[in-house]
Amino acid sequence: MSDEAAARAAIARIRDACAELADADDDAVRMYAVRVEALSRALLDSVLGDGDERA
Amino acid sequence: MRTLDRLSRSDLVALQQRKLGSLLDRLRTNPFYAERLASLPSGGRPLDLLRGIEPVDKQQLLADQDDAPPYGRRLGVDAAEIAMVHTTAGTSGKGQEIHALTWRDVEAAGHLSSFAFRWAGLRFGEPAAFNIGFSNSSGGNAMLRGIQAIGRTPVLVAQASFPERLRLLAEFRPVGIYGTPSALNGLARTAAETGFDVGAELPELRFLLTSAEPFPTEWAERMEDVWGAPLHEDYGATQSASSICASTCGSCVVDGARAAMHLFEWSFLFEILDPETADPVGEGEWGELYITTLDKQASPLLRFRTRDRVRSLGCGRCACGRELLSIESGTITRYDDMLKIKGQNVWPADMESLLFGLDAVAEFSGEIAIGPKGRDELYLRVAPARAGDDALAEAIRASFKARFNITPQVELVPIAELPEWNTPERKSRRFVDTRQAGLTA
Repeated sequence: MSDEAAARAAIARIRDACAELADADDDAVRMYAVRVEALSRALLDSVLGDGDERA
Repeated sequence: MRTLDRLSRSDLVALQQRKLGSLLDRLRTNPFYAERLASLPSGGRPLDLLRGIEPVDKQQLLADQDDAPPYGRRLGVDAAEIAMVHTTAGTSGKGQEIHALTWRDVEAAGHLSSFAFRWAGLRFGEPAAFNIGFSNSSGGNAMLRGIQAIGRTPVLVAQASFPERLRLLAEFRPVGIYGTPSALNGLARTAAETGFDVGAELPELRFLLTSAEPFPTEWAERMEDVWGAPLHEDYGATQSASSICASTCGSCVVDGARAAMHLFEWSFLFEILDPETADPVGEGEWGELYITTLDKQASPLLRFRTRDRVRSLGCGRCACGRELLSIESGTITRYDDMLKIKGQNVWPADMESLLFGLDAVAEFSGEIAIGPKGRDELYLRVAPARAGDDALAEAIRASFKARFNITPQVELVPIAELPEWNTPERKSRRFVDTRQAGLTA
Protein backbone atom coordinates (compact mmCIF):
# COMPACT_ATOMS: atom_id res chain seq x y z
CA MET A 1 0.00 0.00 0.00
CA SER A 2 1.39 3.44 -0.88
CA ASP A 3 1.89 6.11 1.77
CA GLU A 4 -1.08 7.99 0.38
CA ALA A 5 -3.30 4.95 0.37
CA ALA A 6 -2.25 4.15 3.94
CA ALA A 7 -3.00 7.71 5.00
CA ARG A 8 -6.41 7.59 3.33
CA ALA A 9 -7.26 4.30 5.00
CA ALA A 10 -6.21 5.60 8.42
CA ILE A 11 -8.13 8.85 7.98
CA ALA A 12 -11.21 6.92 6.92
CA ARG A 13 -11.06 4.94 10.16
CA ILE A 14 -10.68 8.14 12.16
CA ARG A 15 -13.67 9.70 10.39
CA ASP A 16 -15.75 6.62 11.08
CA ALA A 17 -14.87 6.93 14.76
CA CYS A 18 -15.81 10.61 14.71
CA ALA A 19 -19.17 9.76 13.19
CA GLU A 20 -19.76 7.34 16.06
CA LEU A 21 -19.00 10.07 18.63
CA ALA A 22 -21.02 12.78 16.92
CA ASP A 23 -24.11 12.06 19.03
CA ALA A 24 -22.34 11.56 22.37
CA ASP A 25 -24.07 12.88 25.47
CA ASP A 26 -21.04 14.88 26.56
CA ASP A 27 -20.57 18.22 24.78
CA ALA A 28 -16.78 17.99 24.96
CA VAL A 29 -16.79 14.57 23.30
CA ARG A 30 -19.11 15.83 20.57
CA MET A 31 -16.89 18.83 19.93
CA TYR A 32 -13.83 16.57 19.92
CA ALA A 33 -15.49 14.56 17.15
CA VAL A 34 -16.28 17.73 15.19
CA ARG A 35 -12.73 19.01 15.44
CA VAL A 36 -10.98 15.72 14.69
CA GLU A 37 -13.29 15.23 11.71
CA ALA A 38 -12.38 18.76 10.57
CA LEU A 39 -8.66 18.00 10.95
CA SER A 40 -9.10 14.83 8.94
CA ARG A 41 -10.99 16.51 6.15
CA ALA A 42 -8.58 19.44 6.05
CA LEU A 43 -5.76 16.93 5.53
CA LEU A 44 -7.68 15.21 2.75
CA ASP A 45 -8.64 18.48 1.08
CA SER A 46 -5.55 20.60 1.51
CA VAL A 47 -2.69 18.09 1.62
CA LEU A 48 -3.88 15.11 -0.36
CA GLY A 49 -5.70 17.34 -2.83
CA ASP A 50 -9.25 16.07 -2.69
CA GLY A 51 -10.90 19.46 -2.43
CA ASP A 52 -13.89 20.17 -0.23
CA GLU A 53 -16.27 17.25 -0.63
CA ARG A 54 -19.16 19.61 -0.06
CA ALA A 55 -18.11 21.84 -2.99
CA MET B 1 -21.17 10.16 30.81
CA ARG B 2 -19.61 10.83 34.21
CA THR B 3 -17.13 13.70 34.12
CA LEU B 4 -14.15 13.94 36.45
CA ASP B 5 -15.56 16.91 38.34
CA ARG B 6 -18.24 14.54 39.69
CA LEU B 7 -15.93 11.95 41.23
CA SER B 8 -16.61 11.02 44.82
CA ARG B 9 -14.00 12.27 47.27
CA SER B 10 -12.57 8.79 47.73
CA ASP B 11 -12.34 8.15 43.99
CA LEU B 12 -10.76 11.57 43.52
CA VAL B 13 -8.10 10.90 46.14
CA ALA B 14 -7.37 7.52 44.57
CA LEU B 15 -6.93 9.25 41.20
CA GLN B 16 -4.61 11.81 42.77
CA GLN B 17 -2.55 9.07 44.43
CA ARG B 18 -2.08 7.34 41.09
CA LYS B 19 -1.24 10.52 39.18
CA LEU B 20 1.08 11.89 41.83
CA GLY B 21 2.91 8.56 42.04
CA SER B 22 3.51 8.66 38.29
CA LEU B 23 4.62 12.29 38.46
CA LEU B 24 7.10 11.62 41.26
CA ASP B 25 8.51 8.64 39.37
CA ARG B 26 8.99 10.85 36.32
CA LEU B 27 10.49 13.77 38.21
CA ARG B 28 13.05 11.63 40.04
CA THR B 29 15.07 11.78 36.81
CA ASN B 30 14.24 15.41 36.01
CA PRO B 31 17.44 17.46 36.52
CA PHE B 32 15.59 20.27 38.31
CA TYR B 33 13.55 18.09 40.66
CA ALA B 34 15.85 15.09 41.18
CA GLU B 35 17.75 16.67 44.06
CA ARG B 36 14.54 17.63 45.86
CA LEU B 37 13.26 14.08 45.57
CA ALA B 38 16.51 12.26 46.33
CA SER B 39 15.77 11.84 50.02
CA LEU B 40 12.13 10.95 49.50
CA PRO B 41 11.22 7.36 50.42
CA SER B 42 10.42 5.24 47.39
CA GLY B 43 7.48 3.49 49.06
CA GLY B 44 4.39 4.82 50.77
CA ARG B 45 1.36 6.65 49.54
CA PRO B 46 2.38 9.56 47.28
CA LEU B 47 0.06 12.07 48.93
CA ASP B 48 1.64 11.30 52.30
CA LEU B 49 5.05 12.17 50.86
CA LEU B 50 4.01 15.51 49.41
CA ARG B 51 4.66 17.78 52.35
CA GLY B 52 8.18 16.44 52.68
CA ILE B 53 9.07 17.91 49.30
CA GLU B 54 10.65 21.37 49.18
CA PRO B 55 8.26 23.81 47.46
CA VAL B 56 9.19 25.70 44.30
CA ASP B 57 8.91 29.46 43.99
CA LYS B 58 9.18 32.01 41.23
CA GLN B 59 12.78 32.94 42.00
CA GLN B 60 13.83 29.30 41.71
CA LEU B 61 12.12 29.01 38.33
CA LEU B 62 13.86 32.16 37.10
CA ALA B 63 17.21 30.93 38.37
CA ASP B 64 16.60 27.61 36.62
CA GLN B 65 15.98 29.47 33.35
CA ASP B 66 19.19 31.42 33.84
CA ASP B 67 21.08 28.17 34.39
CA ALA B 68 19.66 26.47 31.29
CA PRO B 69 17.97 29.02 29.02
CA PRO B 70 15.36 29.32 27.78
CA TYR B 71 13.26 26.55 29.35
CA GLY B 72 15.31 25.62 32.40
CA ARG B 73 16.32 22.13 33.49
CA ARG B 74 12.75 21.46 34.59
CA LEU B 75 11.50 21.15 30.99
CA GLY B 76 10.95 17.39 31.24
CA VAL B 77 10.44 16.70 27.52
CA ASP B 78 12.58 16.91 24.41
CA ALA B 79 12.62 20.47 23.09
CA ALA B 80 11.31 19.14 19.77
CA GLU B 81 8.06 18.23 21.53
CA ILE B 82 7.31 21.83 22.51
CA ALA B 83 4.28 23.15 20.68
CA MET B 84 4.24 26.61 22.26
CA VAL B 85 5.33 28.51 25.34
CA HIS B 86 3.53 30.78 27.73
CA THR B 87 5.25 33.40 29.80
CA THR B 88 4.08 35.02 32.99
CA ALA B 89 3.14 38.66 32.67
CA GLY B 90 6.14 39.90 34.60
CA THR B 91 4.04 42.55 36.33
CA SER B 92 5.78 41.82 39.62
CA GLY B 93 8.92 43.24 38.03
CA LYS B 94 10.84 40.10 38.94
CA GLY B 95 11.11 38.60 35.49
CA GLN B 96 9.07 36.34 33.28
CA GLU B 97 8.76 32.62 33.84
CA ILE B 98 8.73 30.45 30.75
CA HIS B 99 6.34 27.51 30.71
CA ALA B 100 6.47 25.13 27.76
CA LEU B 101 3.54 23.09 26.47
CA THR B 102 3.46 19.95 24.32
CA TRP B 103 0.58 19.51 21.89
CA ARG B 104 -1.08 17.35 24.51
CA ASP B 105 -0.66 20.15 27.07
CA VAL B 106 -2.18 22.70 24.67
CA GLU B 107 -5.26 20.55 24.07
CA ALA B 108 -5.60 19.61 27.74
CA ALA B 109 -5.50 23.29 28.74
CA GLY B 110 -8.49 23.83 26.47
CA HIS B 111 -10.45 20.92 27.83
CA LEU B 112 -9.72 21.88 31.42
CA SER B 113 -10.65 25.51 30.80
CA SER B 114 -13.88 24.42 29.17
CA PHE B 115 -15.21 23.27 32.54
CA ALA B 116 -15.61 26.90 33.61
CA PHE B 117 -17.68 27.61 30.50
CA ARG B 118 -19.70 24.38 30.86
CA TRP B 119 -20.54 25.19 34.46
CA ALA B 120 -21.53 28.70 33.39
CA GLY B 121 -23.93 27.26 30.83
CA LEU B 122 -22.14 27.07 27.47
CA ARG B 123 -23.45 24.18 25.42
CA PHE B 124 -22.30 22.33 22.32
CA GLY B 125 -21.64 24.61 19.37
CA GLU B 126 -22.77 27.82 21.06
CA PRO B 127 -20.90 31.13 20.59
CA ALA B 128 -19.06 32.90 23.39
CA ALA B 129 -16.72 35.89 23.47
CA PHE B 130 -13.79 36.83 25.66
CA ASN B 131 -12.12 40.13 26.48
CA ILE B 132 -8.46 39.15 26.71
CA GLY B 133 -5.96 39.97 24.02
CA PHE B 134 -3.41 37.52 22.67
CA SER B 135 0.18 37.53 23.78
CA ASN B 136 2.61 34.95 25.13
CA SER B 137 0.75 34.90 28.42
CA SER B 138 -1.74 32.10 28.84
CA GLY B 139 -4.97 34.04 29.39
CA GLY B 140 -6.16 34.58 25.84
CA ASN B 141 -5.23 31.07 24.81
CA ALA B 142 -7.01 29.50 27.77
CA MET B 143 -10.19 31.37 26.95
CA LEU B 144 -10.08 30.66 23.22
CA ARG B 145 -9.34 26.97 23.64
CA GLY B 146 -11.69 26.63 26.59
CA ILE B 147 -14.60 27.95 24.59
CA GLN B 148 -13.65 26.01 21.47
CA ALA B 149 -13.51 22.72 23.39
CA ILE B 150 -17.33 22.73 23.47
CA GLY B 151 -18.53 25.85 21.68
CA ARG B 152 -17.19 28.39 19.23
CA THR B 153 -15.70 31.85 19.08
CA PRO B 154 -16.94 33.50 15.89
CA VAL B 155 -15.35 36.84 16.70
CA LEU B 156 -12.51 38.24 18.78
CA VAL B 157 -13.28 41.48 20.58
CA ALA B 158 -10.40 42.30 22.93
CA GLN B 159 -8.42 44.18 20.30
CA ALA B 160 -11.23 46.73 19.85
CA SER B 161 -12.31 49.82 21.80
CA PHE B 162 -15.20 49.37 24.20
CA PRO B 163 -17.79 50.90 21.79
CA GLU B 164 -16.52 48.68 18.99
CA ARG B 165 -16.62 45.62 21.25
CA LEU B 166 -20.28 46.30 22.01
CA ARG B 167 -20.99 46.57 18.29
CA LEU B 168 -19.26 43.24 17.63
CA LEU B 169 -21.06 41.55 20.51
CA ALA B 170 -24.41 42.79 19.23
CA GLU B 171 -23.60 41.50 15.77
CA PHE B 172 -22.43 38.02 16.81
CA ARG B 173 -24.73 37.61 19.83
CA PRO B 174 -22.77 35.33 22.18
CA VAL B 175 -24.50 33.34 24.91
CA GLY B 176 -21.61 34.12 27.26
CA ILE B 177 -19.01 36.82 27.71
CA TYR B 178 -15.74 36.53 29.60
CA GLY B 179 -14.09 39.71 30.87
CA THR B 180 -11.99 40.83 33.80
CA PRO B 181 -13.92 42.96 36.27
CA SER B 182 -12.26 45.98 34.68
CA ALA B 183 -13.38 44.95 31.19
CA LEU B 184 -16.96 44.13 32.22
CA ASN B 185 -17.12 47.37 34.18
CA GLY B 186 -15.79 49.36 31.22
CA LEU B 187 -18.19 47.72 28.80
CA ALA B 188 -21.14 48.34 31.12
CA ARG B 189 -20.13 51.96 31.54
CA THR B 190 -19.77 52.43 27.79
CA ALA B 191 -23.15 50.80 27.23
CA ALA B 192 -24.77 53.25 29.63
CA GLU B 193 -23.00 56.23 28.10
CA THR B 194 -23.83 55.33 24.53
CA GLY B 195 -27.41 54.15 25.03
CA PHE B 196 -26.55 50.54 24.17
CA ASP B 197 -29.56 48.52 25.33
CA VAL B 198 -27.97 45.33 26.64
CA GLY B 199 -31.22 43.39 26.90
CA ALA B 200 -32.29 44.24 23.36
CA GLU B 201 -28.88 43.95 21.71
CA LEU B 202 -27.75 40.74 23.45
CA PRO B 203 -30.95 38.72 23.79
CA GLU B 204 -29.16 35.35 23.90
CA LEU B 205 -26.76 36.32 26.69
CA ARG B 206 -26.96 33.70 29.46
CA PHE B 207 -23.79 34.16 31.49
CA LEU B 208 -20.83 36.34 32.31
CA LEU B 209 -17.51 34.91 33.41
CA THR B 210 -14.81 36.91 35.14
CA SER B 211 -11.46 36.44 36.89
CA ALA B 212 -8.05 37.95 37.61
CA GLU B 213 -9.17 40.74 39.93
CA PRO B 214 -11.07 40.68 43.24
CA PHE B 215 -14.40 42.45 43.43
CA PRO B 216 -17.04 43.46 45.96
CA THR B 217 -20.35 41.61 46.09
CA GLU B 218 -22.20 44.86 45.35
CA TRP B 219 -20.30 45.23 42.10
CA ALA B 220 -21.10 41.63 41.09
CA GLU B 221 -24.80 42.18 41.74
CA ARG B 222 -24.69 45.44 39.78
CA MET B 223 -23.09 43.64 36.81
CA GLU B 224 -25.78 40.96 36.91
CA ASP B 225 -28.44 43.68 36.86
CA VAL B 226 -26.81 45.58 34.01
CA TRP B 227 -26.16 42.54 31.83
CA GLY B 228 -29.23 40.55 32.85
CA ALA B 229 -27.15 37.40 33.33
CA PRO B 230 -25.46 35.61 36.23
CA LEU B 231 -21.82 36.41 36.85
CA HIS B 232 -19.53 33.40 37.31
CA GLU B 233 -15.89 33.51 38.33
CA ASP B 234 -12.94 31.35 37.34
CA TYR B 235 -9.34 31.18 38.52
CA GLY B 236 -6.26 30.16 36.63
CA ALA B 237 -2.63 30.96 36.07
CA THR B 238 0.15 30.19 33.67
CA GLN B 239 1.48 27.95 36.43
CA SER B 240 -1.76 25.95 36.48
CA ALA B 241 -0.89 24.31 33.17
CA SER B 242 -1.89 27.51 31.32
CA SER B 243 -5.45 26.58 32.12
CA ILE B 244 -8.39 27.65 34.18
CA CYS B 245 -8.14 25.50 37.30
CA ALA B 246 -11.16 26.58 39.37
CA SER B 247 -14.61 27.99 38.79
CA THR B 248 -17.92 28.71 40.43
CA CYS B 249 -20.75 26.34 39.54
CA GLY B 250 -23.29 29.16 39.55
CA SER B 251 -23.50 32.87 40.23
CA CYS B 252 -20.51 34.08 42.25
CA VAL B 253 -22.77 35.98 44.64
CA VAL B 254 -25.89 34.35 46.07
CA ASP B 255 -28.20 36.42 48.28
CA GLY B 256 -25.37 38.85 48.95
CA ALA B 257 -22.92 36.12 49.99
CA ARG B 258 -19.87 35.00 48.09
CA ALA B 259 -20.03 31.59 46.43
CA ALA B 260 -17.33 28.92 46.19
CA MET B 261 -14.94 28.30 43.35
CA HIS B 262 -14.34 24.58 42.97
CA LEU B 263 -10.75 23.59 42.28
CA PHE B 264 -10.08 21.17 39.40
CA GLU B 265 -8.50 18.55 41.63
CA TRP B 266 -8.62 15.77 39.07
CA SER B 267 -5.75 17.42 37.22
CA PHE B 268 -3.97 19.35 39.99
CA LEU B 269 -3.05 19.03 43.62
CA PHE B 270 -3.87 22.15 45.59
CA GLU B 271 -2.59 22.99 49.03
CA ILE B 272 -3.71 26.04 51.01
CA LEU B 273 -1.00 26.76 53.56
CA ASP B 274 -0.13 29.39 56.08
CA PRO B 275 2.56 31.47 54.30
CA GLU B 276 4.66 31.71 57.46
CA THR B 277 4.39 28.22 58.96
CA ALA B 278 3.48 26.22 55.82
CA ASP B 279 0.80 24.44 57.88
CA PRO B 280 -2.53 23.71 56.19
CA VAL B 281 -5.18 26.30 57.01
CA GLY B 282 -8.64 25.35 58.17
CA GLU B 283 -11.98 25.91 56.50
CA GLY B 284 -12.78 29.61 56.39
CA GLU B 285 -9.14 30.61 56.86
CA TRP B 286 -6.78 32.41 54.53
CA GLY B 287 -3.65 30.88 53.10
CA GLU B 288 -1.30 30.70 50.16
CA LEU B 289 -2.28 28.44 47.28
CA TYR B 290 0.33 25.84 46.24
CA ILE B 291 -0.16 24.06 42.92
CA THR B 292 1.14 20.73 41.63
CA THR B 293 0.39 19.94 38.00
CA LEU B 294 -0.54 16.26 37.88
CA ASP B 295 -0.89 15.89 34.12
CA LYS B 296 1.37 18.44 32.46
CA GLN B 297 4.11 16.97 30.30
CA ALA B 298 6.36 19.99 29.67
CA SER B 299 7.53 22.28 32.49
CA PRO B 300 5.76 20.35 35.27
CA LEU B 301 5.38 22.08 38.62
CA LEU B 302 5.65 20.37 41.98
CA ARG B 303 4.37 22.34 44.97
CA PHE B 304 4.60 25.74 43.30
CA ARG B 305 4.01 28.67 45.64
CA THR B 306 1.63 30.96 43.77
CA ARG B 307 1.77 33.83 46.33
CA ASP B 308 -1.99 34.02 45.76
CA ARG B 309 -3.89 34.62 48.98
CA VAL B 310 -7.09 32.57 49.03
CA ARG B 311 -9.76 31.68 51.54
CA SER B 312 -10.34 27.97 51.92
CA LEU B 313 -13.95 26.79 51.95
CA GLY B 314 -13.22 23.10 52.45
CA CYS B 315 -14.69 20.20 50.44
CA GLY B 316 -18.16 19.13 49.52
CA ARG B 317 -20.22 21.94 50.99
CA CYS B 318 -21.84 23.04 47.73
CA ALA B 319 -25.40 22.29 46.71
CA CYS B 320 -24.13 21.21 43.29
CA GLY B 321 -22.90 17.99 44.91
CA ARG B 322 -19.30 18.22 43.74
CA GLU B 323 -16.86 17.14 46.42
CA LEU B 324 -13.98 19.34 45.30
CA LEU B 325 -11.86 21.55 47.55
CA SER B 326 -13.13 25.10 47.13
CA ILE B 327 -11.99 28.68 47.64
CA GLU B 328 -14.00 31.83 48.12
CA SER B 329 -15.03 33.70 45.00
CA GLY B 330 -14.08 37.31 44.46
CA THR B 331 -11.43 37.63 47.15
CA ILE B 332 -8.16 36.30 45.70
CA THR B 333 -5.33 38.75 46.22
CA ARG B 334 -1.55 38.66 46.09
CA TYR B 335 0.64 38.38 49.15
CA ASP B 336 3.32 40.36 47.39
CA ASP B 337 0.92 43.17 46.45
CA MET B 338 0.73 44.39 50.00
CA LEU B 339 1.50 48.10 50.39
CA LYS B 340 2.55 49.91 53.49
CA ILE B 341 0.98 53.38 53.35
CA LYS B 342 1.43 55.77 56.25
CA GLY B 343 2.44 52.78 58.34
CA GLN B 344 -0.67 50.78 57.51
CA ASN B 345 -0.62 47.44 55.67
CA VAL B 346 -3.14 47.53 52.84
CA TRP B 347 -3.82 45.55 49.70
CA PRO B 348 -4.77 47.34 46.48
CA ALA B 349 -7.59 44.86 46.06
CA ASP B 350 -9.17 45.94 49.33
CA MET B 351 -9.03 49.58 48.28
CA GLU B 352 -10.49 48.71 44.88
CA SER B 353 -13.20 46.74 46.59
CA LEU B 354 -14.13 49.68 48.78
CA LEU B 355 -14.25 52.12 45.87
CA PHE B 356 -16.13 49.87 43.47
CA GLY B 357 -18.54 49.06 46.26
CA LEU B 358 -19.71 52.67 46.08
CA ASP B 359 -22.43 53.21 43.50
CA ALA B 360 -21.28 56.80 43.12
CA VAL B 361 -17.84 55.76 41.77
CA ALA B 362 -17.57 55.06 38.06
CA GLU B 363 -13.80 54.66 37.80
CA PHE B 364 -10.64 55.69 39.58
CA SER B 365 -6.87 55.55 39.68
CA GLY B 366 -4.59 55.72 42.69
CA GLU B 367 -1.02 56.76 43.35
CA ILE B 368 1.08 56.37 46.46
CA ALA B 369 3.63 59.16 46.27
CA ILE B 370 5.83 61.34 48.41
CA GLY B 371 3.77 64.42 49.22
CA PRO B 372 4.85 68.05 49.71
CA LYS B 373 5.58 67.38 53.38
CA GLY B 374 8.01 64.65 52.42
CA ARG B 375 5.96 61.71 53.63
CA ASP B 376 3.89 59.23 51.77
CA GLU B 377 0.42 60.15 50.67
CA LEU B 378 -2.36 58.27 48.92
CA TYR B 379 -3.76 60.22 45.98
CA LEU B 380 -7.03 59.12 44.41
CA ARG B 381 -8.41 60.47 41.16
CA VAL B 382 -12.06 59.47 41.06
CA ALA B 383 -14.62 59.79 38.29
CA PRO B 384 -18.10 60.15 39.81
CA ALA B 385 -20.92 58.12 38.33
CA ARG B 386 -23.11 61.23 38.49
CA ALA B 387 -22.03 64.80 37.80
CA GLY B 388 -22.19 67.27 40.67
CA ASP B 389 -21.69 64.72 43.42
CA ASP B 390 -19.78 67.14 45.65
CA ALA B 391 -20.08 64.98 48.75
CA LEU B 392 -18.32 62.04 47.15
CA ALA B 393 -14.75 63.11 47.90
CA GLU B 394 -15.48 63.53 51.59
CA ALA B 395 -17.36 60.23 51.69
CA ILE B 396 -14.35 58.45 50.22
CA ARG B 397 -11.96 60.13 52.66
CA ALA B 398 -14.13 59.07 55.57
CA SER B 399 -14.48 55.51 54.28
CA PHE B 400 -10.73 55.12 53.85
CA LYS B 401 -10.09 56.53 57.31
CA ALA B 402 -12.58 54.13 58.87
CA ARG B 403 -11.44 51.06 56.95
CA PHE B 404 -7.68 51.54 56.53
CA ASN B 405 -6.83 54.33 58.96
CA ILE B 406 -5.56 56.31 55.98
CA THR B 407 -6.99 59.64 54.78
CA PRO B 408 -6.37 59.96 51.05
CA GLN B 409 -6.21 63.08 48.93
CA VAL B 410 -9.24 62.79 46.63
CA GLU B 411 -9.65 64.64 43.36
CA LEU B 412 -12.86 64.28 41.36
CA VAL B 413 -12.16 64.24 37.63
CA PRO B 414 -14.10 63.59 34.41
CA ILE B 415 -13.91 59.95 33.42
CA ALA B 416 -12.15 60.83 30.18
CA GLU B 417 -9.11 61.87 32.22
CA LEU B 418 -8.63 58.36 33.58
CA PRO B 419 -7.05 55.39 31.78
CA GLU B 420 -9.53 53.06 30.10
CA TRP B 421 -8.01 49.94 31.70
CA ASN B 422 -8.30 48.36 28.31
CA THR B 423 -5.03 46.46 28.33
CA PRO B 424 -4.37 43.20 26.49
CA GLU B 425 -3.15 41.60 29.70
CA ARG B 426 -5.57 40.32 32.28
CA LYS B 427 -4.73 42.29 35.34
CA SER B 428 -5.45 45.98 35.62
CA ARG B 429 -3.30 47.78 38.13
CA ARG B 430 -5.10 50.88 39.26
CA PHE B 431 -2.60 51.74 41.97
CA VAL B 432 0.94 52.83 41.23
CA ASP B 433 3.60 53.35 43.85
CA THR B 434 5.97 56.18 42.93
CA ARG B 435 7.45 56.70 46.37
CA GLN B 436 10.90 55.47 45.44
CA ALA B 437 11.11 58.00 42.60
CA GLY B 438 9.79 60.67 44.94
CA LEU B 439 12.40 59.87 47.52
CA THR B 440 15.25 60.13 45.06
CA ALA B 441 13.96 63.23 43.24
